[in-house]
Amino acid sequence: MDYVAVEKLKWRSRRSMLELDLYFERFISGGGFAELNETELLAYQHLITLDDADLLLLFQGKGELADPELQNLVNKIAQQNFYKEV
Amino acid sequence: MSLPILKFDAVVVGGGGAGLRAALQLSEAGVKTVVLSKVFPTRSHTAAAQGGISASFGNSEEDNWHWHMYDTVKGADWLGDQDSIEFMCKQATEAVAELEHYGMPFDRLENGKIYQRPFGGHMAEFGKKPVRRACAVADRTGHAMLHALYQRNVKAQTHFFVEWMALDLIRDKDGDVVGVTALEMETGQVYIIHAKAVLFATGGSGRIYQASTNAFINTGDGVGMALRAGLPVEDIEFWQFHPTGLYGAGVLITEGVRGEGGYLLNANGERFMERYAPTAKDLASRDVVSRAMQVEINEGRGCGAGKDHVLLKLDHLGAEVIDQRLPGIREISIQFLGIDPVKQPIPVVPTCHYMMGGIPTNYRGEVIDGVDEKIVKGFYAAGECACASVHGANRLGTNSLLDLVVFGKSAGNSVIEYVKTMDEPKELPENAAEFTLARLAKLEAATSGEKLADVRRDMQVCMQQHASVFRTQKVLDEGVANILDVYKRAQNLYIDDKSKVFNTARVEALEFLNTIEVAVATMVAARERTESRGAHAREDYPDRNDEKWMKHTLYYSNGNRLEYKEVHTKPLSVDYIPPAKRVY
Ligand SMILES: Cc1cc2nc3c(=O)[nH]c(=O)nc-3n(C[C@H](O)[C@H](O)[C@H](O)COP(=O)(O)OP(=O)(O)OC[C@H]3O[C@@H](n4cnc5c(N)ncnc54)[C@H](O)[C@@H]3O)c2cc1C
Repeated sequence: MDYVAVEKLKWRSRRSMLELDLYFERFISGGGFAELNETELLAYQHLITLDDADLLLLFQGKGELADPELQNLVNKIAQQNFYKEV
Repeated sequence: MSLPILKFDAVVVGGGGAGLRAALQLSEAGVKTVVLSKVFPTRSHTAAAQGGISASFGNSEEDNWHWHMYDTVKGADWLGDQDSIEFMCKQATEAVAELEHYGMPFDRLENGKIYQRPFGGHMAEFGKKPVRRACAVADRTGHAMLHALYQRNVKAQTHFFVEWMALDLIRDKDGDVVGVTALEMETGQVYIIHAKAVLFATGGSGRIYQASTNAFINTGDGVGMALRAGLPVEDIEFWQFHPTGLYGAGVLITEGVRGEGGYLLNANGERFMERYAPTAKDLASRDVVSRAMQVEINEGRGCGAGKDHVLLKLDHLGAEVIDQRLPGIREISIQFLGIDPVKQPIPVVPTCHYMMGGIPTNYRGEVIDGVDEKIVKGFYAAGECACASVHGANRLGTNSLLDLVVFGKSAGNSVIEYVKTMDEPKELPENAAEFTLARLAKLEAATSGEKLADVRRDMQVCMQQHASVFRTQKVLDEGVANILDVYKRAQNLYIDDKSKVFNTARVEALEFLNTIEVAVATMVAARERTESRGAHAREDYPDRNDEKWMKHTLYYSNGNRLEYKEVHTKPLSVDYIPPAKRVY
């Protein structure tokens, strides 16, 4: 995927809800996104076309996608250990 | 340099609830309309609204718009314009019925009528007892609203320019608005959109604070553009803080948690709300709970290493109740903080939630300028970016979604009237895009300067420390000095990436130049208001002062100037609701 296409994916990771912004932002700035291979990037492209309310449920583990590739990606994004000590 | 020009009857900036409702009104009336949106419309922030939309159907028990109006006036702490408030509350049932007709699948009672749930501040008999007034589509009300309105717009042949960012308003020599400049992100091309009328529905700007429930997209672009065009922003010092934002992340933890029996604890394990609100306790209104939390933190009874938050305890409810009645809460807390609320309390802080102020309009959605409320021809605004003013000093839960559809439609109707009077848009001024191009060129030319991430963080920290739940003269004076310093630095932004197409760094820098305008306006306006009213709480002026301060603030960015105008005390058809003490 070329640079512009990747930038587009990042922009489209801006969502209607803060929860989703945080999942995506930390995936992107935490390096997870940069490690995606071409197939995974295509899966990512697909994933972000889903509805926000559905995405949130998926990230919260309430539902599973039929496509194992997509579900894998969901798991990666949702399972990042992205909290700091309080 | 000449730019490509696109011509429409009306351009709506913003594809959230307000923008889509306005656009629908226009397109159905045959007005050639384009909606610009930074993101796909159904991903606008409106989709995050879960609680519901208010309308006094009285489907479960007696209710009427007079009671709704009273609650709204009182909630606004008598800073709302009573003509606008009457207009909104009276229209509410029709507006919601329309949404239902557009396909919004509202929850229903067994008799087929719309189900209504109770919500904070919704009362019957002029504040006497709670009433069920909130209509909802499960926990997806905003989402369902956007989808219904979007589909309807597609049918009505509204044009959509998605991933387009409006940059500046274009005003002619008479001060009339004749279009906007806008950036097509895909190509990096800047266009002039020449139109008979421009309607702003760009949403809120909650990202000025460090702790915010708002999605990243809420950067206050509409307010920034209006200020740069020499127009004022009204009552911008009033920001609603939600008591229970997740510490560090901001994510909203619904009031439902406290409704189900959860409560707040300080570092001593004390249920402190019993001291502040002996009757309502943890269920007192949002501003009361937020302030109590902040007092606990300020007086050293905050929790954690930084003593900077309190705890929301719900483990006593048991896993079953938490899982069944509070869906999502457990996952949010585990995923964002590593804390399972079934075992441990959740760290929370008062968190910025809603911008009560905005671009001043009348109830017809026409933008008005100055103390004498002169209509700015060709310019309209609705939704969170506008100030009609129905929310005054404090918004009532579920009144925002209502505001979007009532004033979206009303502004749409005003545009229809206005565009009818002309065959062609008024001529563009010669230098229509000069200002925008100069701004872009400056960003382009900078080879060094301030990094966006640094200035944005400094703005957010400054706002959080100097203009959040509690304010004093000293804290605000320092705040003004600090935020003006950040503003100066912001004029010196530097971005590495100079590419033309889909340059998100540039877009974010341009957004920030709007956000910082809102931040400065907030701080300057807050410093001046020496009273406590609704969300604006001054430790040094703890009381509301109607004699001196029952007036709207107008802030102009040129010289950081403030003016004050009268609150509208004449409703459209009913008697004025005179000020009283706001107790719940
Ligand atoms: C977590 C949360 C829950 C809430 N729950 C409720 C609730 O239950 N009930 C209620 O009444 N209120 C609720 N609110 C408040 C309410 O959701 C918002 O006030 C409301 O949705 C704002 O709608 P809007 O149409 O004004 O703007 P938005 O929905 O924010 O839309 C703004 C639009 O403007 C576009 N835009 C912005 N700038 C530009 C630009 N420069 N160029 C082009 N396009 C631009 C965006 O792309 C977007 O399409 C909640 C708020 C939050 C944060």
